[in-house]
Amino acid sequence: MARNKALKSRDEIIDISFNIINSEGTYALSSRRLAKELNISFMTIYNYVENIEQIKKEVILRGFQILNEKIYKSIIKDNLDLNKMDIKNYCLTVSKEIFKFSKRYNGVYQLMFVNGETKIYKDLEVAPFYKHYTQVINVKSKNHNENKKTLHMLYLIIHGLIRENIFGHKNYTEDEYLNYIDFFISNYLNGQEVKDA
Amino acid sequence: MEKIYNRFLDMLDFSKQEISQLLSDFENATKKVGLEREDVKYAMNTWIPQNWDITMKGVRLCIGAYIREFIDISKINEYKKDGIKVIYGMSPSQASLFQAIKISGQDKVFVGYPDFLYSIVVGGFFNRIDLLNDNEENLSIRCRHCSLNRVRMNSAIEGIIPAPDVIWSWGFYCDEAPKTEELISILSDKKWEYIISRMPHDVYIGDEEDKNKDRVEYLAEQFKYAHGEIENITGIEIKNKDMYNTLIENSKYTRKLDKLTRLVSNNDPQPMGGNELALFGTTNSMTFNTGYTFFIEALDTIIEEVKKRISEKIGILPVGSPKLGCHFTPICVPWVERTFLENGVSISFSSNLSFSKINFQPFDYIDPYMMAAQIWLRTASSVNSGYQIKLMSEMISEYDVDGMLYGFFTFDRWLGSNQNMILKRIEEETDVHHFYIEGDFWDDTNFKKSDRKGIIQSISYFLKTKKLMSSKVYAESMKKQEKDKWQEIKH
Repeated sequence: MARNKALKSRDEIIDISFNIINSEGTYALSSRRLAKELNISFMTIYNYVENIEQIKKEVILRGFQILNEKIYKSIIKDNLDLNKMDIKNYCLTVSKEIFKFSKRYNGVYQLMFVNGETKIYKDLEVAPFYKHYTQVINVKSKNHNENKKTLHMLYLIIHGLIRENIFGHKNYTEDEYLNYIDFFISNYLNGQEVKDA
Repeated sequence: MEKIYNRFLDMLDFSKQEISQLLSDFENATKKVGLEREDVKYAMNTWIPQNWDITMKGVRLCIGAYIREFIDISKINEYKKDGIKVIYGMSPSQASLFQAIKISGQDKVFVGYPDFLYSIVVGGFFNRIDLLNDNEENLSIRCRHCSLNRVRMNSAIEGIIPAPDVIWSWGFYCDEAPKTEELISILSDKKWEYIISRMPHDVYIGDEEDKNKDRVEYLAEQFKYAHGEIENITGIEIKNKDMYNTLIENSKYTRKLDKLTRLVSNNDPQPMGGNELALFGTTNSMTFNTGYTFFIEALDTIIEEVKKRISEKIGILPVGSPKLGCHFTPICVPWVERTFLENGVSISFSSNLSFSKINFQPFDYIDPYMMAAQIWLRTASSVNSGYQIKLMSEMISEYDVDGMLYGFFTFDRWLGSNQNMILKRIEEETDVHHFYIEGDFWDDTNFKKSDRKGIIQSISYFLKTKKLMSSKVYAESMKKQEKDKWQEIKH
């Protein structure tokens, strides 16, 4: 069959890749599969991207774009009453949004935090977004390093719990998951104020 | 027919008398580089107003000053016929060393940076750099070389940029530029005379090169040698007093630029955008045959306009909005700043066009060439990576920013890879978030807005979240915006 479709932009490749990874997992992504979905020759894809790894990186960036937007909007919505703007609420909001993201975009979540993280973590474009949860807040405290450690622990707990869900070891509901997060925050971070810039 | 050209100059505050004098020259200059009437119309009605705030008189005057030089460059062939010597500089270099030649030679010499100027005007203001940097027979877009070198080579071979009496090519941190001169001289049927200045990078990491006398002397000797060669080729004597005067004038100009940069970057709300700021900052990176009079007028005007905006609390974004500093020149990719603005984040200073305290320290020498060498060795990009980290960190700490944006140097095998190595260290030193975006600040053909929009949005959400959590002023403002939005929906 003649291939008659011309690609309009690199975005089309990323869109299709995002959907393939999300519904079938990272291993389903290949240039031949993309060529078939886009109805173009697989060599044409390489006029737009260097290799499959670059596509995966773009999918991760797209994932962070969605996640960061959700977190921002959720914080605005949840914290309209400024008195609630403390670390506990911030951490709960972030945790909730990551959990929702892992449910809605399971395949992409796995690429970002399970499969892809170790490989792409150090990439300069992607790396800042992994530090989001440990660096986004300045805590008004003398013990800055200790707080950093606690926030890093929180990061590990969030993704540890979600991994248990993904690999079928447990099946937490959102409330059960948030209960664990709340327990950790109440014991280690409760009562901290956010530093005014 | 010619009304478009007339209206274009009128938009940039050229007087009626000037327009009647310059109109045909301007039209010829645009045609020389391949710009058509539609390109001029698009720039006037869409591209320039979209990307630069031309409601500010200073901005209009500044773009107008670039256009004056653009017109002047189109007349180089006529100058040559009149026996005027033609000397080109290239970027990156220290403009004052070229300006000294102009001051010494006056009307007997043309000194300019045609490739740089074309990149700013044809690429930045008309969004048509493809006319000059993409030539299948010479250097095309596919070779991924620096666009500046592609513009120079293609334009030289096509005769758009006439062969100079001499081009002084600086290879102090770009070795591709001197190689380009060699390539032009081989491929062009016209004589392309060039002088190359280079310096070995054999200092210890962390060595403070401006305080290293051997290093300063070596560089000063390179400058003197090149000036001597230019004197031999052109017969123009470059006087020591002209070197002094240039350094003094440049210092005054630099202080004004610094004042503007700090007014823009360290005020909340930010009174003017990074694109506008870069228009002025870039003027310090090249020499203009038409001189600095028009730029000084533009600079004085914009400083007053910015002060007025500050006193009236007028900003490009609400109070408390996040700000980014950048490490590239955003003129040829103005959509980067505009996309950040659409997402509630502003770009302020560019570390390549700004200054820190060290740039205003007294000199250790009285010889003007030693002074010029010390200026160069106080520039972060010119020195070893250890000292560069220190200079960059000091500069960033002097500006009020929430993050730094790197990247857009993908074409540059030196500065492009160098910033990948230093970025993490500067982030640790300054405690300011550092972000990176792949791209090319001269030419966006390979890294389009549509491809980069996602990461810009991601960075913006990150910074806004941080600001929301750390600044009550910003949180209040966002809260109000959100409430207003709901009210609007209800109604």
